Amino acid sequence: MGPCQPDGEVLRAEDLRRTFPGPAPVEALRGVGFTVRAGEIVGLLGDNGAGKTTLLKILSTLLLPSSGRAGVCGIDLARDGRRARRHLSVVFGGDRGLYPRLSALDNIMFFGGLSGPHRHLRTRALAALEEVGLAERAKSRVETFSKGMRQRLHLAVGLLNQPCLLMLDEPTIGLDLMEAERVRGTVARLARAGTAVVLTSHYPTDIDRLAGRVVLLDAGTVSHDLPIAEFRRQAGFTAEVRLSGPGIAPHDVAVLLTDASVQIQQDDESWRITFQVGAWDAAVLGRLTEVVRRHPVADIDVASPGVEAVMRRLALNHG
Amino acid sequence: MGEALRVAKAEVWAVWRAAVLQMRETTRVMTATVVSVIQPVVLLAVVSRGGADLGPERTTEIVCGVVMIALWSSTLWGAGTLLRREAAQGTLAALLVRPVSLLSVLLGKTLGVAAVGLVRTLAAAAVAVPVLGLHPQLPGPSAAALVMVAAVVSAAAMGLVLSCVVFLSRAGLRIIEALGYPVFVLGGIVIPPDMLAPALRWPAQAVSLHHVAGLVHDAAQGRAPASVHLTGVLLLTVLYLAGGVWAFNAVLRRGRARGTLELA
Repeated sequence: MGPCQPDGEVLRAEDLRRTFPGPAPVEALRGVGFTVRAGEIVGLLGDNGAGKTTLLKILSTLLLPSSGRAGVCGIDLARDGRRARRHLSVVFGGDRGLYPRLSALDNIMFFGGLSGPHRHLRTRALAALEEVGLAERAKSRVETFSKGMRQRLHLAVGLLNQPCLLMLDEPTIGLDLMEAERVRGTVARLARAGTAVVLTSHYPTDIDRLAGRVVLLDAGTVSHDLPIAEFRRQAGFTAEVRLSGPGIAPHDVAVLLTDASVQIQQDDESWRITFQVGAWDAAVLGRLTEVVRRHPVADIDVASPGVEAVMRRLALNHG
Repeated sequence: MGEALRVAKAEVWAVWRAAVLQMRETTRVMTATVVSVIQPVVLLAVVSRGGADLGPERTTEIVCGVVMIALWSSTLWGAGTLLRREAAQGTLAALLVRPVSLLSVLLGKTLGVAAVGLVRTLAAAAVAVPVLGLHPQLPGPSAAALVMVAAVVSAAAMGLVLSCVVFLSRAGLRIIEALGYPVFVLGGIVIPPDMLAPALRWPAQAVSLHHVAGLVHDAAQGRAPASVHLTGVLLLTVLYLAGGVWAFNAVLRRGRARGTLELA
């Protein structure tokens, strides 16, 4: 770990603005500000073109802001990028960014070695490969790796120097369920150990499972900066209930539930009814009990709204 | 002071790690052998004229000249396209977010390319020369080492400049191709400088290869290296290096400010 204090502020962005010049200048960021504390996982969300990539590039020192400032562990990224980079790690998504003709160990030792001389570089490299489940393939050429394995290798490279701040750009893109789960597990462990994590992903599951807070970008500004529970409440309902049963769907359910959001699906041999609950109260429970009493309900599933539901609602409001 | 020392150590370490990585990578690229192995063997076969006796001095000059061309070509090609290749395989962004200068990494990689080219070319020449019946007078080890180091370091410095040119312009590779043989001609490797038109002789002074050729000539004659050539190589190499560092920083500054670096 670097000089950042446990539970202290690791990343601070203040009024970041970035305009790309040209015949028609593009204002990619228009005053973005937020903070990330040690051990916190912040999900950075936004539609395509909202400014996520530009923000990540600025935070990883690949791009200079037009104005505003950002710092890692109190070190200004624009003025003292080299020193700041000692405390941050960026894991780019996708299967590029590695030397395909070289082994996983060669790759991780090279990138890890660029943080300065280490006495135990090889040991630490092998430990990082072990962490992401690639120890047995340490000496295999990267060109023989699947997309998921390359993604895990990226993560291992990011872990090697135990950064204060880890930025993950689409860390589970293209991974199968098990591999994605393994990556999420690693990220969660890192955060528990005190690493601050900024995570962008098009997969709501990543944000749902990992993020403690969500920063939502919209047209280059922060439209929401909320703890995940509060963000989920933006969906406008408390829970989504799914009832299913055999035979023909009961048509009085919509009347019983008196809820406009009721959706009925009928298959050949079964039915499924989905509705959203604004708030749990005695009346709702009573109506639900009445449905179950009257009809052959085989299964009830109750789920809290996820990030996807919030994004859908926000998109609808926006549109 | 402690911080400065720490930074310096990290940069030297980065040069070393980059050189090791590049040597491993280059040895696995078989196309690189075209310039460093096949080209010198073919050139030696052509100039050996079926075993005709050229005399030891002329033979030495030819062999050394061919080796120099191969060293320069492989180093220029390898080093000149480094940045473009890093961008193409997506590793440039990964290098730029490290706490060491990309310049140190590039320098290390350039030296790695040059080292592999040197070993390959010398190995190819060591096999081809006796097979083709050539009998050069081997210069003393110190003279040979001086010429080799001068050629490789000078080519690596020029490779750094070219790497930035290639990165800045999509026509960069064509620029290297177009410049290659004029440089060899002006450098006095393909045609002796005194056979060039008088108006073309002075630009040769700005090509370090010209002075390397002079060192080769001196070594073949068994003479001590002329100070004019030693100074020429040294000055021009420093000049190339300074130009390369300036061009590199300009590329990086512009890229970070305008967002024009190809980072994805």
